[in-house]
Amino acid sequence: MDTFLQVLAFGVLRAGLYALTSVGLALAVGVVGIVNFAHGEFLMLGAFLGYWLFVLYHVDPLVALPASAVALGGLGAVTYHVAIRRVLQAAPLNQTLLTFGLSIALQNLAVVLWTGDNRAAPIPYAHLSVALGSVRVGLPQAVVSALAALLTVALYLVLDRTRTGKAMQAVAQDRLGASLVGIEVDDAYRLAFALSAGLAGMAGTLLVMQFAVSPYMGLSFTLRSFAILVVAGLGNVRGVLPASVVLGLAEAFVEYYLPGGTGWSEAVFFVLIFAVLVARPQGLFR
Amino acid sequence: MGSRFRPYAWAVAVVAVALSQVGAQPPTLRIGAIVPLTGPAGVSGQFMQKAYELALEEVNRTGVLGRRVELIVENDRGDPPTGAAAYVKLVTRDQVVAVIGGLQSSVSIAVAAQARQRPVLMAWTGAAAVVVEQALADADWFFHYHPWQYHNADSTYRFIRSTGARTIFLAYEDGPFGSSAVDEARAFARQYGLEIVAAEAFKTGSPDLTPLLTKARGSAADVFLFVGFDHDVIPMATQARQLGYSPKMILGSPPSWPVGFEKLPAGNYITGMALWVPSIRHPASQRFVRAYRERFREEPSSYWAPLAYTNLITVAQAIQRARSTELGALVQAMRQTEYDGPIGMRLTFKRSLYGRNQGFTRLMAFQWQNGRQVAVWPEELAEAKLAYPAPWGR
Repeated sequence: MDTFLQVLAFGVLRAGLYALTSVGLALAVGVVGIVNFAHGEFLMLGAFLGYWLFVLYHVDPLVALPASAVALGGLGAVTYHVAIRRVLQAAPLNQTLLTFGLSIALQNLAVVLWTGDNRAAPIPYAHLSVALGSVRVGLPQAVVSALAALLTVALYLVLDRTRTGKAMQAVAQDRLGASLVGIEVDDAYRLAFALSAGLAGMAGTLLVMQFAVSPYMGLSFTLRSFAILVVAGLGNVRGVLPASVVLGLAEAFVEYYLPGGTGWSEAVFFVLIFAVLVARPQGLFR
Repeated sequence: MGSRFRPYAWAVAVVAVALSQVGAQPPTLRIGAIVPLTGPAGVSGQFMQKAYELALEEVNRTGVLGRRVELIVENDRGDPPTGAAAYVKLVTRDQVVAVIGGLQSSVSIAVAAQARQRPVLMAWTGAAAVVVEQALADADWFFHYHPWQYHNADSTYRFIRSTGARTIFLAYEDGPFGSSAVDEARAFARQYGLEIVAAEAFKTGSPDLTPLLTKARGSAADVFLFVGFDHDVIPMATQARQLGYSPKMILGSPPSWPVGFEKLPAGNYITGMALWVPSIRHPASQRFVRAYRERFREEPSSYWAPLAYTNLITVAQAIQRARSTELGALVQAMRQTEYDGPIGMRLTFKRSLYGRNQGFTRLMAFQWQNGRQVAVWPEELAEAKLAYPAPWGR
């Protein structure tokens, strides 16, 4: 029973990490209607920001979160203004190629600026854990999961309870209708894309507590984010949290209980994508 | 000719003589190097490039066969077709007498295909995959410096045996790098009286290794042997500490270690295998480290630096010994190599399992102790004792 609870805890903590890295992408898909392949690179830039702030100025990643949100949110707004809005009416292939190109460009820019090295930030509490009865929970993972839940709920509240959030939902439902009732569609898109990039930046900054920072780190998180989006239902921001829990628990149980299961973690999310697309294309939580 | 033209005539004459002297200079002796200066292995490649620079300065203090050596460095970007094209360019257009360098096995295979068609002296630092050795098995002009995969495995299990450990939990990433390490692991372990109690694959880049580490803890093996990349060792080390997983030794062998790993609290007492670390107790190594630091204001923290230095120096010495740039003479001269360089082990070339000219055949072990890579094995290179069992958390 203890082992079962421990594996359950692994799954829940992993779900927090996945939710944190996916919720921004869900927002970009849901509101702006664009599949942003550069999402992982925004996350990577947030991680580098957190890394350098820690290494050069000893700023804890948790303290660096607002700076990361503002910096990456700003970059997201600029990216939207310069590039994204020009392809919103274009064919999906053009949008895909644009964000894919942006992803490659940002990755290479990072290589030029900081080399391809993997970098470790020596966060003093990264290796600590807390005991909850017989279950041990890594401190950074617990912090990330708590913040993931907090940020996701905050995003739900913004979308549901504020005029700006409702405007974003309106343009997501019907761009033309929203503009007819006086909503500035372009502003709503810009804000949603900036929020999406800001959330990715914060996720990246938090990852500094647990992982190596490198220009190539974004891809694996982007892949899992797509799986979560499919399970949640494309663009369904509210489905991100439960979908992350499904993926996190599925991976943790397969990895622990299946012989040789740790090699199967990627298969788990591709099987999930396949199963959901075939059986319930609108997603499990829509 | 009027007197007012005389000064110009003199000037023209002086310039003409000077130019004729320039023309009389012996042409430089060209050596080509193929290294990944960018891409995933770019960091190691940049260490190599700097070490080549250092070696070149040393070689050109006296010259080779009375000529200056010119090193033409090509960036293969870790991309096999680019590496192959670089080889063709070096051999056909630049007409180099030798091609040196090399790091990744995938690029080496592509270069090998071109080299078989246009052979020159190939003094190759990189590639551990045996397929490269097999591809160039009958090439007597191919000299290989880095140990092959089976040499790495032999050193690893010999070191583990020397600690008194008996059982191993083997965790390996399931790509070509990790899988090649696991292929013959049980046979090597048996040879040294060790038992691999379980071998478990994982995905490189996986953010969560806790299920894997929990399985390892359950196995109660003496040694947790981790074959993954540099970005995998951070979650491995920190999550092992979070779980309170305390085997007698955690042994990792990533191609390189993340920048800043030495400051990671969870990294203390992790043990690693490498061809070289800067702290080894060897005069030539210490001289190299000092020279590198002075020249580049940084630590030569990757073994690719002394390996590249050794590479160029030994090729230059062989050309000097051969008194010729003819391929047959160069091969004979390379075979006479006996070089006590910065790696800390004498370099000679002998037959290996498939190849004709193999250089180094052994790795060494080090342990992260209070922020430093401390050489702990073999005894003749050891700087300090291995902390075994590792005093985790103390």
